[in-house]
Amino acid sequence: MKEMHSDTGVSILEMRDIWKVYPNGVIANANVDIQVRKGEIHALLGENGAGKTTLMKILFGFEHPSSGKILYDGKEVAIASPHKAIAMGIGMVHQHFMLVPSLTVAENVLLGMEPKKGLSVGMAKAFEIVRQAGNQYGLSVPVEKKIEDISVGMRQRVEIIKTLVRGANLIILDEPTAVLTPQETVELFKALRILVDRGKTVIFITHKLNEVKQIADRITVLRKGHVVGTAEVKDMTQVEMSRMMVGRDVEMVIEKKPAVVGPELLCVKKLHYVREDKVAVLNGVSFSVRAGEILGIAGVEGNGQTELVQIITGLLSPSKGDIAVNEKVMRRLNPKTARKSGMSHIPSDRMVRGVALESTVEENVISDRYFKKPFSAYGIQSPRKITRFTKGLIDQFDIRVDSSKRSVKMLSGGNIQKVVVAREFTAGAKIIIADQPTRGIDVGASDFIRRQLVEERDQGVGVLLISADLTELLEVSDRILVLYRGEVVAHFDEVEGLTEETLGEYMLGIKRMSEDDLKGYSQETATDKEGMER
Amino acid sequence: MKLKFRIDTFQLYRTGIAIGIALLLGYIIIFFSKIPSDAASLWEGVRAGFDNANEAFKWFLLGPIVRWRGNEMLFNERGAIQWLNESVPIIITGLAVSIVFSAKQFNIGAEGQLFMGAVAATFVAVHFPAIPVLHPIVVILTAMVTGALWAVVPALMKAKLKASELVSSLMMNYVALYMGLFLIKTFIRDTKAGSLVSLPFAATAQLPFINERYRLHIGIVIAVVSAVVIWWILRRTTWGYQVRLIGDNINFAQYSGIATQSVVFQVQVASGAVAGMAGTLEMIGYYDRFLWLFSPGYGWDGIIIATLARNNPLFVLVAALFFSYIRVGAKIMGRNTDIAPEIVSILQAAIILLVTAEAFLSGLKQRSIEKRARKVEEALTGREVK
Amino acid sequence: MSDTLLGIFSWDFIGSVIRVTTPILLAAMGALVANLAGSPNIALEGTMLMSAFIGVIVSGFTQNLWLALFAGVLSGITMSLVLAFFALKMKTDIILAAIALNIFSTGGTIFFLSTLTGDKGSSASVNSLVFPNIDLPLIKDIPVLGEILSGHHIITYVAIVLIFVMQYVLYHTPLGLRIRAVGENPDAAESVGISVNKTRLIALIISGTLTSLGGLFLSMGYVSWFARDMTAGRGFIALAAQALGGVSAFGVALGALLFGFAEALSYSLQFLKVPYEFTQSLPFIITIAVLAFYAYIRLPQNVKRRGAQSGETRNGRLFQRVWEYFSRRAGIRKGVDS
Repeated sequence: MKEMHSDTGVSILEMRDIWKVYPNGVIANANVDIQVRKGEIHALLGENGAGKTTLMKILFGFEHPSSGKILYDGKEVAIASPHKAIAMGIGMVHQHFMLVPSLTVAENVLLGMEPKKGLSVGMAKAFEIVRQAGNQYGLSVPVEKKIEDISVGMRQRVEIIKTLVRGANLIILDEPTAVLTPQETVELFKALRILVDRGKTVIFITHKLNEVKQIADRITVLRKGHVVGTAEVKDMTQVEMSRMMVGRDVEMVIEKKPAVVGPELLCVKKLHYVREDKVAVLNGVSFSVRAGEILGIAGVEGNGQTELVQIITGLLSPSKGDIAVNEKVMRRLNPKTARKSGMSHIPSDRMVRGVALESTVEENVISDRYFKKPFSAYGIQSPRKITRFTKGLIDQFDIRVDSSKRSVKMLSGGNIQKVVVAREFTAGAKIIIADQPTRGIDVGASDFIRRQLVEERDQGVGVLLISADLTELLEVSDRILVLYRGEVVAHFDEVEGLTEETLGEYMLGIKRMSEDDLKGYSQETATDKEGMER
Repeated sequence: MKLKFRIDTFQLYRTGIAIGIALLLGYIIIFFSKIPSDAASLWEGVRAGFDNANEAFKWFLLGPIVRWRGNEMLFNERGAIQWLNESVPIIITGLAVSIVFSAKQFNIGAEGQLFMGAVAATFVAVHFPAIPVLHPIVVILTAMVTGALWAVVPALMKAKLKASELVSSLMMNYVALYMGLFLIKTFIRDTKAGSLVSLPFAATAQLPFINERYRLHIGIVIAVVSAVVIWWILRRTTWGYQVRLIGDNINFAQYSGIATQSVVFQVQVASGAVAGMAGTLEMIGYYDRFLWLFSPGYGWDGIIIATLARNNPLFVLVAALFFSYIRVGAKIMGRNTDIAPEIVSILQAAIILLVTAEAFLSGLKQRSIEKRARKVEEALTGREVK
Repeated sequence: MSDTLLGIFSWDFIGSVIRVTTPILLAAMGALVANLAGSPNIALEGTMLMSAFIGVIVSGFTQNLWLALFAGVLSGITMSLVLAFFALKMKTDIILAAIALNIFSTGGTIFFLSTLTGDKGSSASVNSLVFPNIDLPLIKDIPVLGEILSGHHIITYVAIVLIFVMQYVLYHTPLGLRIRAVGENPDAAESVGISVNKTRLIALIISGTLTSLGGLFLSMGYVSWFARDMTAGRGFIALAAQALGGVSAFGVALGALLFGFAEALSYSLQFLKVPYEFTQSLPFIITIAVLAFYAYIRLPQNVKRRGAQSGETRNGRLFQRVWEYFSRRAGIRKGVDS
């Protein structure tokens, strides 16, 4: 596909034949070539794990390539550190912001280049510099506030100003919209246009096709560490782009029988959660999951999904409200009692909670049942039985690994998720809480996991599916709830005919169902119910 | 499997090279400190320096197992027994620390635990009704229980209050030192003795000897058995599985339904129990009364040994035997030359620094991994990869 | 009895508190700057011991106080440089590297003492110098106040000035800003081109310098010789003082003062026939109690399960938190009253 590569326009950056092999043997970039022109918005498109971020970290001097050449402004350069990158005029806004929470906006922006007053930091001058820099590009920020006290969108502005005051001409943005509200995204895109109009160049890392269409001039697509191709955005349709990204047409046709619904298995009643910083994250959420159905929860990330799942699975105690399993309210709910009551949980943060990386596949798949027969007897483990069981799972779930005694960190992302899924699907659970079960893994593994979810549902298991992937939600779920700012704002008992656009309107708070329609799901009705019960 | 094996060999090489560098450093220091200031010429001085350093290193490296009669080399029974005896307390503290380290907890309280354990054991060794066989067992159990109790305070603070165990366990060491000395001084001091020592232990409290002449006691057997038992507990029991899982990823362990808080607590207390017997074995084995005036430092040794052994109880044996060997070697060197045996701590420091330095020689490892990964990629894609 | 009690809290006692606080205070500030930079320095003990030794040896052989000062501080910086090299460059665990350095100092000072003087116990045979006590002009003539403020060791005065200097450096200068940024979010600092390693190196050098002054005070002020293991755990006590005092230099000074007070008390109480072992262990028991109390008031309300969520432990601004705790308590009570 390299023939799509065209050489018109002055290039500000060229990376040639970049390789990056991590110490654990994972190849993040292989033979990567990319060329960025002056004054364009260049999108770097690819699935999670395609090597986009690694490539940009190399460009910014955070990582060092195993081999390859970088040309900046026509000259070959070695970027040993971020310091060097900044000096050359490269700035980067990371996915996880690089800010010091206890310092002020101005201190963060000018860190490392503080104006001085005598020996001290000249604070008044610092405020002025930051204010001006922001205004010049239409990015106003509260310079005297501490980072921990401002919103995510604001923090991102601070990050952009940080690069600008350091004289950045090439600005890299790593998935900048992932954490933003739609309005904030609009603001961001406006700011990016201003930047380009004033002669800056932007590299925009994303996996969202509509954003590419909206904002980018050209794209380079990465897949599994390799470059698939580079093209003008106006010449391509979203379908073409998605084909380049995933390598084949996304076929998401899952044969689904109509749901045979049984009794209520999981019931969430008037759940409230107030975070330590006094922010109310959940405001009276109520719903239930019945045997033999998949309940999907849609919502922009950060609208209470994480806390909801943690509370249900006993990792977090709610400020108010109850969780009932099999119509029994759980008093001392913790991961142990949750599992005992028949719940299993595919966590969204699989590297944090889903696996122990240094441990073997065997040790990972028995973590919830190590104390049971046949895995142990009288407190002594039975290694041979554990191995036999694990080998069975490796076959059944198609985990690509050469030995059950291999440590999990040697596996690819998709295979690590299969280890998680293998454990959680074989726990004999009545309820499965699947939190972003296919995030960041390859299409094959995703497809496999979705089919497994449907199969479990057909066996009479109740599934709660939380996903940011709307296509997946619509494909797999039997019913869908929309969570917005810690409240249920819509529920659909029929998924047939429902579109992503409709869901989007509710997710973004543009629409909200009437209190009548939300009976049983939202706060007000919940209080009524309480009155009736007492 | 092959890849894993290769990395382990790499660790072995690296440790060997680190030890080599440390020995070389010791040699150089001795060489310079032994150049006589009144040498006739520079050449004479340098030659004398080499001669002296060679002589010193002969004692240092071979002293624990070899003695010389004229030019004849004989087995140094006394040195070898000293070597084994001195390894006992540090094997035990190494094991104690490797238990907590396995759960990625950072407890530096072994020092206080073994001190308090020995103090409590002293009372039982002196006063407990003298029943043969049973007596030393009761003494050791007392030490273990005391060590465990001493570990409870920081463990509770960690489990219930989430207070860092680093500082609190350190503080407990000092409390143990002062309180222990106070108890010995006030209640069980031998007033007839010149210095501060306890009353002699009852004869029944003594550990049996394997070699009576040089006082080789069965402490070394207890230490080796403990190492094997602790290895087995950590590797083969469900409790050990929980401990290791917590050590790898405590969030995952909790998510899986393991009661992490209580296991962490158990780990600290179990480690305290093991540490508790470290000093006691030496005391009722080699000595016959409590005679410490300072903390013996075995707790710190335990941290180092556990680290060098990568928390594997079986490797703890090897690491502790190695440390004790170079210490005894240094002492023998000190007896036969006028070089202060404390030079061994310079060597120990160098070994620890180099062995725990992740970046030390890591370039070699990275290069071999890259080569391998490229081969795999070539095989998968069929493309030529440089 | 009351006479004896009065005797304990005499001017002499205050002088004694100040004397024993000095080395702890210097090392505790060394702990503070290293901690803020996110590179905790557990090698304070070894650093103090080494500079106490080097100071005595150099002053004995050269009979020059300035050279002794220079060499003593340089030895402290060298210890920090070795720690920094292994921890920052060679990726050794910083705590293990520090333990190694402590071992090195303990044995190394004895080895070199014996090599240089033939004596393994102390430097009694070396004719070493001491730094002088200073009478403050004018102030020394004020009754009572003069007695308290004047006539202390020069390093004590330096230490007191350094409290303010450190507070200023850490919270008002670009360097302090960078040190705190590196400690709180090293990635953020790195992303704006601040070298994390370089900043930590600077912090460790400052830490080594401060700590070495504490060591010099011990062997060239507190007493006039070097003795094996003469730091007797003061480097570790300094860590505890910092843990108590939190992130401000003033808080740390208060923490150090508490330990100095307890140590001085242990000497005085011997006249009351209180076994010195009790009083000696008092500061450690107090630290444990205060840490426990401190951790307790910092526990979030719904800690029951959240507590187990991570292995994270708490350290920080103690006095501020205690203050907040009591004012919150007071507030609650007020609420009930009205």
